[in-house]
Amino acid sequence: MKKILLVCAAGMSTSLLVNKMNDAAKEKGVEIDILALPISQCESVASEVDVVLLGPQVRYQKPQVDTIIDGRVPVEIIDMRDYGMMNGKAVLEKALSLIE
Amino acid sequence: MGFMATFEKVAEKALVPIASKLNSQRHIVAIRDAFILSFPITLAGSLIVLLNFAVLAPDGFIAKILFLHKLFPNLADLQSVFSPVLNGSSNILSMFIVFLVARNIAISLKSDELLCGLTALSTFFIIYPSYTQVDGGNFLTTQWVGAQGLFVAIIVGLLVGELFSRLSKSEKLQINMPASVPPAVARSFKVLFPIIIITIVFAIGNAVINKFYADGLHELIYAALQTPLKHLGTNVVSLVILAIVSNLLWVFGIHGPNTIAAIREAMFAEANLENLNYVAAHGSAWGAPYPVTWAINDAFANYGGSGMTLGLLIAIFLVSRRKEYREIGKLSLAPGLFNINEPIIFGLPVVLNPILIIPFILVPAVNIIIGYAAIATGLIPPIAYSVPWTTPGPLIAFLGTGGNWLALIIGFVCLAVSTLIYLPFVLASNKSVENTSDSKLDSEKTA
Repeated sequence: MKKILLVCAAGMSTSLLVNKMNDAAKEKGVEIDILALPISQCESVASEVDVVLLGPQVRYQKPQVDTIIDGRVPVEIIDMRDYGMMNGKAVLEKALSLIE
Repeated sequence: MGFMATFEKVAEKALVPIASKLNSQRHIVAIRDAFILSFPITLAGSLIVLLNFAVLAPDGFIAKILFLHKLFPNLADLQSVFSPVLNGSSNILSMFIVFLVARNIAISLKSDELLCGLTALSTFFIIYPSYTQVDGGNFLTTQWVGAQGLFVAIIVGLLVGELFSRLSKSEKLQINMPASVPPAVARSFKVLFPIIIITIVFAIGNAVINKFYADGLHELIYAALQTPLKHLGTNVVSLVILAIVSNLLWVFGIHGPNTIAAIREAMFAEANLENLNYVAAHGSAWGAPYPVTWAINDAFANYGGSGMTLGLLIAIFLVSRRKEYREIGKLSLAPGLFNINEPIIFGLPVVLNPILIIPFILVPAVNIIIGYAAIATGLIPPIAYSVPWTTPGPLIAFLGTGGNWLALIIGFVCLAVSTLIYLPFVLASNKSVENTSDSKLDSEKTA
């Protein structure tokens, strides 16, 4: 199963988005594992994930995440509007397209 | 180009790179993440102290509500059972921090993080004031393992982190074992020389400093660095400035509290821990040594999250005629109660919104001053207990003061103030949408 990692400051607001993305995945019939972690803890799962998406509020931490991921998988920033509206479907689509 | 477009361009060009630099600078990140990682332990300690008094002390607010002391007259005796909890959390915070800072540096420099952290802890005690002998037993002062030793811990963590990571990469210093040696053994030999070098350097440095400054390294750093920074932080002007900077960053869609976390922790960590120790010893927040800390922001000026957006949500439900505002308001209410407001910040959005920027920055500043005034005039005790930042609104003021009912009421006053300040701006946003739809109609007519 593919794994998506969402990163934000405390892992709180991204965990809201995880729920919405799981709903969207169920609707779509896709089996996927979605994690939400603060940046200080994403080191531990860096080797297992297939794509990393950053909350827009921590977009300035992309260099730090890039160092951790080391170019192994795509690292992208979630669109502000999608993030604010908690648009699980749009973010899931983006993640899936990045994995491919 | 419109004003907001220019504004946005300037922000992305100037602010994001600065925030990015600040947050990818490995020393700042190492300090920030060390505090974030040790936070659950200090918070657990604080909550147990709070419960200890609220439930077990005769004048604790839960004990009072439930008449516990009448039912169980000896309840107060049980308090001593839980008082050692702080000895294992905030009273040894410097030991956690020195380990974690060095570990974080090692992670970003890709060296052996665990041994790096342990070497830093070892170094911390090499330069620690030596044992005093009393009646044949050896005693180590507890003065510098808690709040007062934080700066030494940070500095040692940074230095050892850097030294260890660099030295352990030097091939000349590595003792390489044959392949038949178990990996765990080989690992410890690999870093043996770097550890010996670091240990010697710090032992000599410590001896030299002690020669010239009799009170020792810890006293020197505490007096020269930690105390000035603490005094810089613990006053209302600094609080308001920090809050404005933090909220201003959010206006550009950058996580404010996270960005200023390292400097904020450096300024307030000692004051917070001293307050906690005070309440643990006195059973009351009255007279806590540092009445002005960042806790005032959380207790009075952060309901709903940065910008005190719970007031914005209430204002929207009261007067907004914009359908999308009410929709996002509903979506944001549940997380907003727990001070998580990314949905409203990015969804409404507040980010780069020329109308809402003003109250978003103004409201927290005003409420910090209200909270400060209530504490400074002795109306309510200081916010001395740390409470999780996800605690709903005025409850932070109530619990943070150890259950002061007036603090709860002032919390609701602050909420009302925030709503009142947001109201005219939400009304203005109604107008701006009417204007745009009018102009759309006009343009359709002319077309």
